[in-house]
Amino acid sequence: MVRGIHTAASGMTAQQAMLDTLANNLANADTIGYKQDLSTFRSLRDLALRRYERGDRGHGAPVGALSTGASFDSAAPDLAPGTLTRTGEPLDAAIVGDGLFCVQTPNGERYTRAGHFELTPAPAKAGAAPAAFLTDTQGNRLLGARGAIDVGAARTVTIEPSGAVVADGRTLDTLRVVKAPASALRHEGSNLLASSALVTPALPTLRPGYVERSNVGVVGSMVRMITVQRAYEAAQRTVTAQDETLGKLVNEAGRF
Amino acid sequence: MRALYTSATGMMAQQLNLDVIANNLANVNTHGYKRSTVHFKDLLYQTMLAPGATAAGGGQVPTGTQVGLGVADAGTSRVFTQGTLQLTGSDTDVAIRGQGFLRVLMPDGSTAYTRDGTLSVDSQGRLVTADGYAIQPEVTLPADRETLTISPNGTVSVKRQGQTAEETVGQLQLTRFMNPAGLNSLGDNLYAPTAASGEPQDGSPGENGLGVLVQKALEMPNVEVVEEMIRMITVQRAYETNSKAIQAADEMLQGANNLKR
Repeated sequence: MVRGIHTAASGMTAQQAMLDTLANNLANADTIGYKQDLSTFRSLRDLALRRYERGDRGHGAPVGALSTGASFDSAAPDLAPGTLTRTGEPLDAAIVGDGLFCVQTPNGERYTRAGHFELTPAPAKAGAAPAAFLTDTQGNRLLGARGAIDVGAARTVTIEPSGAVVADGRTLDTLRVVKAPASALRHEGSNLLASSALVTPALPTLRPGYVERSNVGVVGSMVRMITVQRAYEAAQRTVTAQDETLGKLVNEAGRF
Repeated sequence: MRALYTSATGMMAQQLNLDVIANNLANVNTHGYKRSTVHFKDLLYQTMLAPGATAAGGGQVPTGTQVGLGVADAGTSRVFTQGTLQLTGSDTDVAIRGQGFLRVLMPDGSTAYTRDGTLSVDSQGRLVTADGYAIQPEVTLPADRETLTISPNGTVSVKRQGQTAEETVGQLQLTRFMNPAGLNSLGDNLYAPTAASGEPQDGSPGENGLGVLVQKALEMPNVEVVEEMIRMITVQRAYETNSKAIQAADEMLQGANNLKR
């Protein structure tokens, strides 16, 4: 009986973590390139129950298994594509199909689907030619096949559907686009994903002048929010029921 | 309950988004105005179980458990696409077709840049912006001029009374920036350079991708009303969705409170 209270409470905690994930997805419904987290539950360990009679402690007859509840298991990004919207900006690009852009961060190479890029001039050095790099909104340099792309003092910089970066009519490099399994990717914040597995290069097919919106399904998330809320309520009722039974035991059983 | 704060960040982000859209719509008739957009990024993630950690059974956890903590703005950026040109018929109006900016001298001696070519002539005959800031390099028009011509490459010429030939009295210059989205908006249609915009590159119109001047025309803002309205609708709905998530979290907390009566 006391065990039951904890089992029901584990359900409440798990649903709460689920709501946290849903809330984060909804908060990022307008973040370009954001991939919603799909979360799963896991049933906690089963306990083997044994019937104990006098003298056979520890090896009584088995009576079956009892689960001790549920816990929030994992949240992995759902790599389904988001809708593309036109921005008309020359440095915006959406990836058609699978693939991730690579950017250089202080913590190493990171991946993103957020295809809004900017030209960030590098600090001027005496005697050196001016340098400017394609970066994300955080200033992380976008990587091409040959590393960060220096466009120098180019007047016009465009991204081609093939991933080629063209500055003043000259192709400088091709954007590095990679694939990674969803289970190996984890959100790192700032529209970046980190991969725990090796990534494989992919051939980019881009839509210049477009960005990919987040793939958060608002309707689906709202429906799941309702089920989460109801499941939480049900688990809560179970706790109350357990408590009432326990109350009866404590207050009434002694009277007989 | 993290969801309460997470959804609150979502509501704040949408509020900022609406502020920016409202400013775009407010400037739908401002000459030379460039629309702004907000970019968002997801916030920190709380790792409860690291991916790749050793599971209780000895195996590796394939995905781990991470819960994100919401959204934040990654910055607003201006979109410097060309606006449509509107003919005004006024001699002193110039529109820039291309990437350049007109240079103006501010009262504090600093230099600012503008796309608004609504020029006029002050008491000393100088070409000034609508706010009275002198265009750099300075162009002074003679008082006895009959006509004023500003050529696409910036040459300013006048025909004086009683004369038949035109006479060049000045040269308008333009300035371009590597990354105009990095300019600092000063209001009054003016921008100041920053480390992110790159050094100003001056030159005559028609050179170096600076663009050419079109006399007797003004550049309309690049705000698309329909697009902004659609964004306003999505912003409103996203705000509502986040407020619903707060409500759900609140009701769940209420449920938890009701456990102990």
